Amino acid sequence: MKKKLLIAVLGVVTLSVGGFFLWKYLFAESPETQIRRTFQELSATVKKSGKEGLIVAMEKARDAAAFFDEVCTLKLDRIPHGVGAMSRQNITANTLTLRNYFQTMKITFYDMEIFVEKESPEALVTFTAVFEGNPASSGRQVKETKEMDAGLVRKEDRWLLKSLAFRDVIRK
Amino acid sequence: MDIREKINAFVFPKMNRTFAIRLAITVAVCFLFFKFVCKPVFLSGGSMEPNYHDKTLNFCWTPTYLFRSPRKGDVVALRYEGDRVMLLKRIVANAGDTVEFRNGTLFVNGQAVREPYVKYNEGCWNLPLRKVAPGCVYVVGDNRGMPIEQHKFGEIRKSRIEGTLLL
Repeated sequence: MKKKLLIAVLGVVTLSVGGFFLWKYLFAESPETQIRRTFQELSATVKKSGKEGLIVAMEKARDAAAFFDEVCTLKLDRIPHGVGAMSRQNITANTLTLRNYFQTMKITFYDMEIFVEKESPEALVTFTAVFEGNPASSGRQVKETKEMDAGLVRKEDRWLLKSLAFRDVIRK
Repeated sequence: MDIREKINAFVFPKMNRTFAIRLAITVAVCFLFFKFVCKPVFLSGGSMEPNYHDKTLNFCWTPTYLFRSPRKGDVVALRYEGDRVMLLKRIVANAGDTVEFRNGTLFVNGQAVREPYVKYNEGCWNLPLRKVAPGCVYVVGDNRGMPIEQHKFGEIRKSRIEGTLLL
């Protein structure tokens, strides 16, 4: 009897928790959640696990560029072509170069802070980006961690990156 | 059950269902405790010498700031690069305060601060006056004997504070 009751209670709790999260996911997605999801999708799109053909690389690069606004302003000092206004074509080309250079690569985003007002079409996000990659030419692992500011704009229900810049975590 | 049997049962427990459940719960609780509440941290670098030594193990207690705000004098662990690398520093000023260094002496809001925890000080740190931005704290290491250029310190967002040190 007790066992059945326990199973019933557990079932109700599981269903309630599951239902709550399903409801949150389906109907109550805040701009913050949408922005977080955008970055998760960007991370999944950029990830490269092994060798890939040129067409796949091209498609992935184009998919990655779709996360950016038509023109994106970059202020990424000490990175080749990292400063200035970039079109989606430029971003596709640069992403393709990067994918060819690295055999495996991934970008992870941590410590995301999102500043967005309700109904506002613009948002500011600060985060830590960790880039890890293995160059195809050598087995030496590359790991770069950068603090970044990103400006986003909402267009047709999608959040697009319109600016990216490095920032200091700690400023003297 | 005599004492020898008890010791035997403790050292060589029977692998029955109860023991498996207990073991699983213990492992889960330990994992959650050390992953989220009391994080082990390995100190690397001498910026907090002589109070916290290089290459030593410590624990970051995260619940501290659930019940109070960060205060001046607190030694805090700050997330620096993702959740793997942290900085260990002491809070010296809060948001809205002004901070400056003159010949190695720290001035907060124009007043020289008595810092008994600073044992190494060459007296050559100079930093122009600046105001701490809202939502931030100003953190500095205890080792002022190292050149100011090599020392990571300054204004950092409060949300970066992970917790205080236990030991």
